Amino acid sequence: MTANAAADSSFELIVIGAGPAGMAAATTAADFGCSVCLLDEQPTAGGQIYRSLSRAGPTNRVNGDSGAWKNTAGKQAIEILGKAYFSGLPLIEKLSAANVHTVHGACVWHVGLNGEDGVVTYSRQQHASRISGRHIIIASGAMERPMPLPGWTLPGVLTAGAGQILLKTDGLATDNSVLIGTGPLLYYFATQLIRSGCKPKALIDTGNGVNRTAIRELLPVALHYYRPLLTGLSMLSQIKRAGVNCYSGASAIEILGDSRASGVRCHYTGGKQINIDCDFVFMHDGVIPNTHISRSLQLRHQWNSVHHYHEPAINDGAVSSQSNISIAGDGSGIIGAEASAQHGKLASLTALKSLGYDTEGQSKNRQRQINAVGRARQFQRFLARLYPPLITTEPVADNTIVCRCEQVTAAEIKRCVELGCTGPNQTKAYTRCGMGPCQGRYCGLTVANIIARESNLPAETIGTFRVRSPLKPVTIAELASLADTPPTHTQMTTATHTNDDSR
Amino acid sequence: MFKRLHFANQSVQTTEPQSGTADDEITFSFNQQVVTARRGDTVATALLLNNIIRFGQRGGIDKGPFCLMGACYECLVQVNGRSQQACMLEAVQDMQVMPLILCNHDADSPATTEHDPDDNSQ
Repeated sequence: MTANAAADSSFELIVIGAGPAGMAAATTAADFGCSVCLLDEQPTAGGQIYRSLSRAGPTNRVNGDSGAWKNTAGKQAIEILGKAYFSGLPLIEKLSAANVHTVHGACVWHVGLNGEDGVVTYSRQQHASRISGRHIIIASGAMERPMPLPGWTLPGVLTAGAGQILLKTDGLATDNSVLIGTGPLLYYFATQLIRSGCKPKALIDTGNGVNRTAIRELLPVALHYYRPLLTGLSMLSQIKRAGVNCYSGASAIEILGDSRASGVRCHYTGGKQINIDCDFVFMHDGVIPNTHISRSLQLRHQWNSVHHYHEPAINDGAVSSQSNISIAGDGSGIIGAEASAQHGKLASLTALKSLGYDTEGQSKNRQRQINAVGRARQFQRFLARLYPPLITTEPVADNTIVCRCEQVTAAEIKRCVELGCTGPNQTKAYTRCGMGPCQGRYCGLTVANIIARESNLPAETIGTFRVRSPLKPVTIAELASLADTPPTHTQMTTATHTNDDSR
Repeated sequence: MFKRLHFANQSVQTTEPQSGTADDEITFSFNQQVVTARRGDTVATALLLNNIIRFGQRGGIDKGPFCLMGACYECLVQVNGRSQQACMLEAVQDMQVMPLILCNHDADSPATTEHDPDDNSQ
């Protein structure tokens, strides 16, 4: 390894994830002259929300100027994808101009500590590399909440987020689809399909409508959020106007099909049953923070009883229970894209201060960012009350596959509880649940919920799967390629915050 | 089935169709079936556009793409004997992609599962 390459492997700040939070964090640090490395799994910056925006898929070769979207194709792209998508352009533009060492296609599979430094190991094009940084900002974003339903493993069942990715990245849409679930992203996707000329056959809504608790959460921030509220109402009216068949209060939903999805059956308001044929199903049950990295570090986490998910504990400055590791954006608990960018800046300023940079001039900005993030968390609480996850209203049916990788059913998890399992980690040993290639990302929350329900214990006492590296499957060849990297001086350790490992 | 929308077939800066589709078009194979794609498409996108939604089989269960963001590993396929996520893999000319067929961990399941090549015509 050349001296140059060795020098390249050490940074003051490492940011993981190039979504709104990560991009804002990296560019803010670069503005101060801090040496920053930004790692991202996708080929271009933007995260999932602004995915492929820098090239806007094959739709454009625009240089970031949304004013250039003047011809038919550009206008159609804006009309279908929506203006909110294009609002990410300034962040992406700023990143491409900033002095940030950005690595795309980097799959991070280990984050650890080496003395005072954070150490991040990632694979890119089947070759592993290890870099170190004095401070790490985890901006790993969100993923869709697993929505276990009978038949959800059938080919042809995708998440609504996946449907959006196809639309944003490649301009792909399909007709003859059924949408299942609840939450703003599902309705947004429905309007995108309508505008694409691919009106969904039906929308099966599991939400329970406006309620008092939701209104109470909304009141303190209603003025700040009137725009998104109006957008939401307009989406609902677009869906109605387009004549999409909507079935609200849906329960006992089953996805039918033999070797691929061919239809959906459910009950809806009033106990009526409906059977709908379709080719594709898009499901969505809200989003949850992606906590694999923070959990592998054994940082302190807490159960959020409004959102029904685990989130890392952070302070006002986005610093985790480990002083040189911060968590920004949706990965710290869902706050949405706009607030994530604010949170990224905030996390960066806090990190810069601890790295010895003079950030005194930023104290006003800092307060503004703290306020914006606080309001966003309040607004998300409103959304969580309005669109509660299905698992809180209906138990998972016995024959439903919970762990997609290892094909473990809800009945098997319930049997584990009968046998005395008190936490998710024991179900691993009994059933291999959570031990497949996705490493429990799409079953962990469901398993915790089933255990809580079956054992009549509050969800916050159940805990989570213990996450260990490699966080993503790696080959022996990738591990071996690490031998080309200079050895670290002391043995790598992970943070040692107490965490009950016995479950 | 999935189709590419009009806006994706044109550059937004000019009114001309995206430069020479012949240039941009590539072909590769999935389970020995010829698949056409556009340069830059992922394997997952290309297969969906060709109405292929079963990418493999695990423990006797058919698998297709699910999250398309690299998290769920449901879209695993085999390229050069290595299992890879179809949603994270760019399709290239003449690439030979095979479905990933794995059996489950039950002792009574067969050690290998023969995959019927005709089975992927959907």
